[in-house]
Amino acid sequence: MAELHILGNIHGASNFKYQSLFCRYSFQAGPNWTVVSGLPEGQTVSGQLGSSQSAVWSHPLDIHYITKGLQGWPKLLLHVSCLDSLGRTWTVGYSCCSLPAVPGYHEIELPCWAPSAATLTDRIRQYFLGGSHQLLQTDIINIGLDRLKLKTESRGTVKLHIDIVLRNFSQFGVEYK
Amino acid sequence: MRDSEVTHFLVSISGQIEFASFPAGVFDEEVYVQYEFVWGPDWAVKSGLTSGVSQMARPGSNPETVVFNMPVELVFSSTNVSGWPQIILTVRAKNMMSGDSLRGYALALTPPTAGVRQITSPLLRPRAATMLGEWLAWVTGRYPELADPKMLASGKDNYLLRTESYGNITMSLSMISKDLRKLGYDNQPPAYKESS
Repeated sequence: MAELHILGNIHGASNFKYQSLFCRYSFQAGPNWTVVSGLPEGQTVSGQLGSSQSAVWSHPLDIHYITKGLQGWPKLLLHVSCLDSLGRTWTVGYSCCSLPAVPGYHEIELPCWAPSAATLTDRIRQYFLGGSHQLLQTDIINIGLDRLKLKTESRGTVKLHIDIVLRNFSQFGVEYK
Repeated sequence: MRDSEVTHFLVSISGQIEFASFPAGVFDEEVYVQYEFVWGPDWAVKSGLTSGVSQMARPGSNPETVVFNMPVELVFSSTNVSGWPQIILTVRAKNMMSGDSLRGYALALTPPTAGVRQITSPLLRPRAATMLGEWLAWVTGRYPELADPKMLASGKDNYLLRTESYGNITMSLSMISKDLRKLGYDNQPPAYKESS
């Protein structure tokens, strides 16, 4: 069976208007894919906004997949959350990225979005008290169905440094370069 | 050796820890860096030093950077790419008044593709959990430290450690592999892709 290694790190986030940020991530792949080693989900440390308006996590990624088919190439899902001075957390951004199928080094900038406040009272409450709307069904992040009625606003970006190593793909006739 | 008998691949990592840079200038008398390699269960070290400490350095005409030029050279052998070696750097400073104190931790993956790579990783340092601790850190110039910096490389059980980032450290590392492609691995970017 063909193997895929994803190495690298989640570098950090920029242009979020919050003091302290962290990120929960998970890898999503189709039924053909099996995780052999590595953590398919995790949480970064919480980073404080530095001088360059960016929070740094430098969180390592190392995951090993084996696969029987190409359907459902792994995706990385991110939930960026903020941690305020009272210790409260809420989600401030969602993002999803299909991982590159090209071996070698990739620097990926992932723009994030979050559900926006629908009513004026919600907006006022969020401005003064914090908090946000969250998704109940997180499938909507990686599956492009039923997005029409969702109101979102754009947030900052998350930066990834990814190295892809493939094994035995060409043996099975998969052409990727 | 016939191709079918190849079970291990070798990876040689060599290069140097070039410099640390702090955008607001260096106010310490002496700065030094400790490095340590971390690798997965299938990996073994064939030769080289897996940890070390640099000289005591201070900035020159450029007040923002401290040059170490600390050489690093290692050969690993492995059967599996998973658990690729990472390097953990601890930057510390020594002062007359406050003694030895932490300036930050950095984590970097050694390059999994052949060739030279310049790696800049941010320095992270844990924040005190309480206001009093934060005030003490500010007064004494000593910051909370991790009991085991290797926990950064595992990427789990950080229990939402609060960190801040200040400055970064630049390395240039080159990787050479043997038998990696014979074992069916493909780690090289295609010719059409720019290296950036």
